[in-house]
Amino acid sequence: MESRILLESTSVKTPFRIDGRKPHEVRSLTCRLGVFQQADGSSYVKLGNTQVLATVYGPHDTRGKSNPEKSIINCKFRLSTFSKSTRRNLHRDIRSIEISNNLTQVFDSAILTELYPHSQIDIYLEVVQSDGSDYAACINAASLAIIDAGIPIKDVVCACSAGFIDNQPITDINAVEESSNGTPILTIGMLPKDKQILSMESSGGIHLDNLNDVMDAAIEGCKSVLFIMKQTILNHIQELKD
Amino acid sequence: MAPKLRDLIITYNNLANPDGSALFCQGNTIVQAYVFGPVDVSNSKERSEKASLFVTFKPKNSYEIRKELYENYIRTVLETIIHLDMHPRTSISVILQEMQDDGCLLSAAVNSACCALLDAGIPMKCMIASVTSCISVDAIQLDPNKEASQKSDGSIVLTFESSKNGIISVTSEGELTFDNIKEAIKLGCLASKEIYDFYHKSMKKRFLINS
Amino acid sequence: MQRLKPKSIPSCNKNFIFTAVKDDKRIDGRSSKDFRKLSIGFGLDYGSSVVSLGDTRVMCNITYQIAEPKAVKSCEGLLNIRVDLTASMIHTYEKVVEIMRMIEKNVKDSRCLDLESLCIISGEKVYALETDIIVMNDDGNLPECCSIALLASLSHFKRPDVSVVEDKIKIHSFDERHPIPLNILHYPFCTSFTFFDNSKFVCDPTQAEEQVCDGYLIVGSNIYREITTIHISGKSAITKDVVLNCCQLAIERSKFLTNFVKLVVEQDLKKRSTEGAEIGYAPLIRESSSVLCSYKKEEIELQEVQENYDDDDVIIDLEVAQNTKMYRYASDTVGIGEGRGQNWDFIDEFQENVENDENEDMYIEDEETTNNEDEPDSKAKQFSKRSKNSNKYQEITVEDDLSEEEVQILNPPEFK
Repeated sequence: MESRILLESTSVKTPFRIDGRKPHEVRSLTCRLGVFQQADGSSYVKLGNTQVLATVYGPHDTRGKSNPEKSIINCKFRLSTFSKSTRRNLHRDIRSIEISNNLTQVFDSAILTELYPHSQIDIYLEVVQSDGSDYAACINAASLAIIDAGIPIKDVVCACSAGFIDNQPITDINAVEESSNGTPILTIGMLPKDKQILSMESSGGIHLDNLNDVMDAAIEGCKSVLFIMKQTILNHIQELKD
Repeated sequence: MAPKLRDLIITYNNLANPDGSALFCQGNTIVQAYVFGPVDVSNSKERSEKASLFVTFKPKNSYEIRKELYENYIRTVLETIIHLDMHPRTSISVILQEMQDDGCLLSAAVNSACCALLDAGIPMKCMIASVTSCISVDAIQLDPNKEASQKSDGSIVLTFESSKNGIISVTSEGELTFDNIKEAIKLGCLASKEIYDFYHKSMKKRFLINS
Repeated sequence: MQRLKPKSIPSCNKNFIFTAVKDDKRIDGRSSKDFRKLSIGFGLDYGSSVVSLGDTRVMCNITYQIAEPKAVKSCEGLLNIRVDLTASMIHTYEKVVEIMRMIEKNVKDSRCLDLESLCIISGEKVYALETDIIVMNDDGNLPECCSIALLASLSHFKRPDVSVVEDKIKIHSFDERHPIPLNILHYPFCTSFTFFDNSKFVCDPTQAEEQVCDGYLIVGSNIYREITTIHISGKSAITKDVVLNCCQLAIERSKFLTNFVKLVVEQDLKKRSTEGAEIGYAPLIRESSSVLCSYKKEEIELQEVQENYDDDDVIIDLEVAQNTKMYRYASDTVGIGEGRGQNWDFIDEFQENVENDENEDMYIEDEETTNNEDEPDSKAKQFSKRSKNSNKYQEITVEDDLSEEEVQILNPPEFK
């Protein structure tokens, strides 16, 4: 098994990661709203090299049974066949279904569904290029798309991933760090104002003493992501006004 | 020759969710049966004159080849004895889970299905008892364990019903002569009476404790 | 094979569970941090186990195959996990996926099993372990039960010994050479917590509690205080502190479970080594052990409830309560009271009319009929009038001594 140097200490105190970032640095994030004209709401998020497209249709009539108390949220996550270096042929594999289910749960709690009974809101996510932190990028993209569609939501849902390498908590994992063995990864999706965690997925073992630091790293990452997302939303509204 | 069946043990109603459940033990062959029914059924599978019967046999290894064969056999047997026309537009599901296999798996599955149906209170015309015999070097053995059945030349599974002591279904594997079959039927008939006695006793015991 | 529609939960059930959890009480008498009774049994084959956590019952079977390893990890064995929920007819595909991913993340990503020891010839042949987790009864807390079943089976399983001679692999039967157990590095167990009403949580939920809850948290942990997996879902306001608190509880539970599983496995393996000992599920059924047979629920003490009543809270009219009788209709059917007499207060005008029209009425009359308003102790009539003055209700008795003359039958009007 090859060992990779993921964290390299130089003569300077803070170590550098494989892509040159400092441990608590989030990758460069660019977002755009209103990418597709035909969808009710859409967004494009580029987190480092991970690119995600989100579209929202709704609220509209349900195809089958409707819920008289609230709107039904339907979320579909898809990894494009060309998103990673090896071609993927499976469209409905277990990981995609799991992420779809998690996203449905997150937005079911975040969107004010009681305002739209007997209706359905569809959220479609496609990862065009995958370079780590897919789940976090998807939550951010879906959140922006919902805001673009004008659907009432409790707060801007933001997400960020964090990990733990060589006794150092790091924020925003990329693909290389994710695929190396033994890196525990934690993704948190939260409502920033109340500090309420809507979704947390972790894999790989994190020692309880370090869990607090790793969660803090993820929450700090969420704050940085939120700042940029809010800027994007305000700019978009400004453009619409002009 | 008195038939020698292995020790039989039954536990009824050992699971909370299904309408009826039975854990049937024949020596070291153990099958857990659950019955859900009569319950709602989707429009496509609904039948207006009688209930739809669904039988699922779940072997221990999910890649078992004989799964469909066993399901078919058990379903034809159960369709004959359950009063399906008493519950039209509903469905009755029978699920059989293999827990341990030490020979005679199909017989144990049929017997456990009968017990679970009794536990669920589904109306039946009669009770059924299934018996396996294997033939090796012209000697016939009733209720063989796994070793014996693997060494044998052929085996036959007979299912008897209690009202007229008739045979509902027969399936066989391997080489058998006509005399072998006749002898197997004789032995099986006697053994099935033992099994009916056992059902009666276990049912009595169950309700005596409860009341 | 068909699936049933999930039952909808009545709101009174939901409210009851919520109010009970506020007082740290649950429907089955446990406190919010109590776990249900756990029992584990092993079958004849190595790697076959049944785990009962209260009414939830899960069976796990492990078998092996010889297969080619993955290209990326050429010297590691394979572990395939499959979860089967068909016996619980009210499941959805999402639930299956959720549990399967939970178990996979917990066991595979945390690397609790040493897969390199399963390699026979690097790059060509390795052991592939096929795990079938079969849910027999679902009464809540499936992730925990499934993870216990899987780890119990893994620690119980033994693979045959293998010798490699010049590219030829020889697999020795169990009689030739002793089979080899798997190498388990640590035991990660899942623990579920369900949340009601912001930060009130409950460990080891039953199915009713799971259906009604606001949110849930599943934590996978081991005795080395490592958190192998966390999964949060739902609408509850879960903050970082709550998560850390739950992780602590999960670690405590893991310690208990690790010791329990190791103990049970040791006991079973000892039994096998002694000659003539009975192994497998058959002896467990004979003893009616709680692993395979129905779970005997403990009685809940209800005496505490009565003591909490203040005098102000008593809503029942004491007089009525004292005069109420209980009637036994059958061995298991009892009725309280048999109804009261007519309670209506007649208006004066109506009462006069009634007195005048009594002979033409359909009422069954006694010999002493009219103007009995002031006699509260008069013989009961089937439709007795209640006077304004008396407050007592009248006991109803059915009269047996009616002769035919007293009954007035009015002929229905003739239809032309």
